[in-house]
Amino acid sequence: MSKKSRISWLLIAPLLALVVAGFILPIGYTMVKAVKNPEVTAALPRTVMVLDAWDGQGMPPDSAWDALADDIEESRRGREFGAMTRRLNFEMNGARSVLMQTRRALGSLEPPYAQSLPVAVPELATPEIWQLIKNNSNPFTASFLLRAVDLQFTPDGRIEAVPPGTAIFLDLFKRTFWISIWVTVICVVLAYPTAYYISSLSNRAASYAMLLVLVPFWTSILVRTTAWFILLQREGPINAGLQAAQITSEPLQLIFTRFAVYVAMVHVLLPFQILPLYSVMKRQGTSMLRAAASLGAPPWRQFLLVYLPLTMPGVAAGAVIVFMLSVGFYVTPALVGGLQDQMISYYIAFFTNQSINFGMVAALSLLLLVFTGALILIARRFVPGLGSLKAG
Amino acid sequence: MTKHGAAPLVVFDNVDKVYDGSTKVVDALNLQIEQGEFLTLLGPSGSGKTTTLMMLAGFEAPTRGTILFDGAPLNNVPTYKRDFGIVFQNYALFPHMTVAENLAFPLRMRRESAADIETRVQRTLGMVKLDALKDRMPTQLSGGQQQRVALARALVFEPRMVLMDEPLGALDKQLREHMQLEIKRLHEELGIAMLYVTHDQSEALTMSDRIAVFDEGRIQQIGSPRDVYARPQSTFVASFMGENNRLDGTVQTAQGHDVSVQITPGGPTVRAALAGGTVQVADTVTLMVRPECIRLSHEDGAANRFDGRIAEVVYHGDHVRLSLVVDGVGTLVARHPVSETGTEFTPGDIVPVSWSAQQMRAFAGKGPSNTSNGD
Repeated sequence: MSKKSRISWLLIAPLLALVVAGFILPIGYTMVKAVKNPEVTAALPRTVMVLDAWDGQGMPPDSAWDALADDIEESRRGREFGAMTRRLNFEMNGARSVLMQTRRALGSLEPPYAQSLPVAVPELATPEIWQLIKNNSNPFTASFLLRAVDLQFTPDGRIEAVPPGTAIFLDLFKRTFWISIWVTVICVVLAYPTAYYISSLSNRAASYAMLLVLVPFWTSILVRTTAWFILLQREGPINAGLQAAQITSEPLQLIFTRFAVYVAMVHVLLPFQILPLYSVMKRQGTSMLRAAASLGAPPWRQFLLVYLPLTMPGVAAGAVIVFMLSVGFYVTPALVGGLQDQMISYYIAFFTNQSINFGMVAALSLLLLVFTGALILIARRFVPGLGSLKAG
Repeated sequence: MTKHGAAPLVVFDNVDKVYDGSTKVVDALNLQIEQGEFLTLLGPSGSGKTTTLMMLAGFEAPTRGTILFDGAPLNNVPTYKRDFGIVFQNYALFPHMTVAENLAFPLRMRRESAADIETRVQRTLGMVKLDALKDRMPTQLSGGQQQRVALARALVFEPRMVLMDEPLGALDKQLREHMQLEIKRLHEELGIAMLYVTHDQSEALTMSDRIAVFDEGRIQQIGSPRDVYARPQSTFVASFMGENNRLDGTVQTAQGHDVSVQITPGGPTVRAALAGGTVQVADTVTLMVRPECIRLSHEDGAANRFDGRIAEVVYHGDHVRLSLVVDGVGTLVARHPVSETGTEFTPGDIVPVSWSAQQMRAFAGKGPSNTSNGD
């Protein structure tokens, strides 16, 4: 390696380290985590080995009972048992209590367990729990990813839709993208004239106007969302104002609605649309419009045929940023939205904090990433300017 | 190409343009553009020439006064209805359209049929020799090619007039000279009136039927290139149009336009022609004579004959430039064609120097002292 190229490698090393540490590693970890399935093998190694030779039809051989008893005995000391029961319970409701019951019963039972255990724990006498253990003895599983699109494995290994009552994720993805698309559309519609107006101001006036855009931008999202929380409350200033002006006779339900989510999200994200648009428009100047006018284009055609296409990269750049950020929004819908307005991040947080199911966390995150990427790719085909993104 | 007798195409009637309520960029402008004429507005930056064009284009509104086109006031006519082809300094080609689409744009605005658009675009591209590039994007073209596209786009819809704002400013010298001839050719072919704005006097001289020299928002002089170059009416015009030797002196005798002037007290007098106005004996005047008018011989009929000492010789290929010190007169720059002479000039040599009284212009009063210009 020449000295020059050594120096260039040295110079980009911090960037490279950042990309690896901040991008490749977490996303790689998430991808792996979404399909990893180590709990059952870790807690029940002997059982898994015995069940490996079983064809999954009827009941397993008697040696499986002894292996299960040994494994449970063994795992009393470690934490694997708890993790394994949680994991199996995710696949089959009730599996956890069966296994807990088994562990309790084993304290007073004598081998051969093939005789004594089914008496103490009748649920073990059916093939389902054994099939469940066998199906999850593979170190990798698609079940989190399937669940994230409301599918699941049957005990005998087929894929089926989850029961209607528990199918929430597809709706959740749909809702997340629906809200994000609307927020993006509203931001574009509001930002375009705003950015145009600011770009038409004198430099001095424009810098003041820009301040009005930037000060909220510099304020924490939490603070801004909380401000909307206060404004939109039942007894808040907006309702008070509406009643004082006698537009409504009683307070409107504003907070905890989809409306509140849209208002607060658009407010938070609007600067991301205005800034790239403004920079594109500022560079644009008046010469293209003047040229169009001189060639006989009335104002609306100047706009449609020349100004709009030329500022499209700004629309696209801003819209992509707004859309990407919306898709991952958590705090704002969580604070000002109702249960029906929660987005995918809410459930990612739920699986992280409450149900501690990192497989689900990873699967939802991964699917969010994939869907978002797919949507952007599709949009590139139809939105002019998206294909050749020129950053502001 | 002024057609005498025909009504003027454009009339600026006492037009003012004031910016920010105080800066007067165009001051009581009266200007007529004749049918089919190539008129150049020439002047330094800030002289009001571009603002004048912008007002005619409709991008700026006059603060006062009226602009008439074909006898009808333009004041309330928006640009898109004025039907002028405009070539912008930065070309302003639409970067999201191909060359052909750029040319088709004004025709589409006029709702021409697709077939008509096709033929006219093709014909106009042929006119500027760009047929092969019709499907390129403007960014894929060189500066000179972009310039031709801009020109073609301004001509393709057969506008009532063409306005050009320093259209060649971004090109290199050789290309600029080529394009000057090209534009002149198009003007002659199409017979369409053109208003051309430039700060380059040689460009103005090459192309124009008439030149209006602008300074400080006013027309200082308007006339044919020959007229403006050879008979400047003010020191500003004289110094803006090409290079000049400039001398300040005192009038000794004045008979009509014929004046004799002493440069230094007790020194020799030189004979000059008064450019305008009247002067009295003992008045201060500014004299200007162009370097190419100074001969290195004692020409017959030349009223001014001196001996000069060569101070400096600069070789320019087709000519040499000599700095000559004439006692009692001052330092004069002479431009001497090389082909005419096998003579070698050496600094220190004494050579004969002469120029005619007609070619030395006398301007009453001391002009501004810093307008000497060799552009």
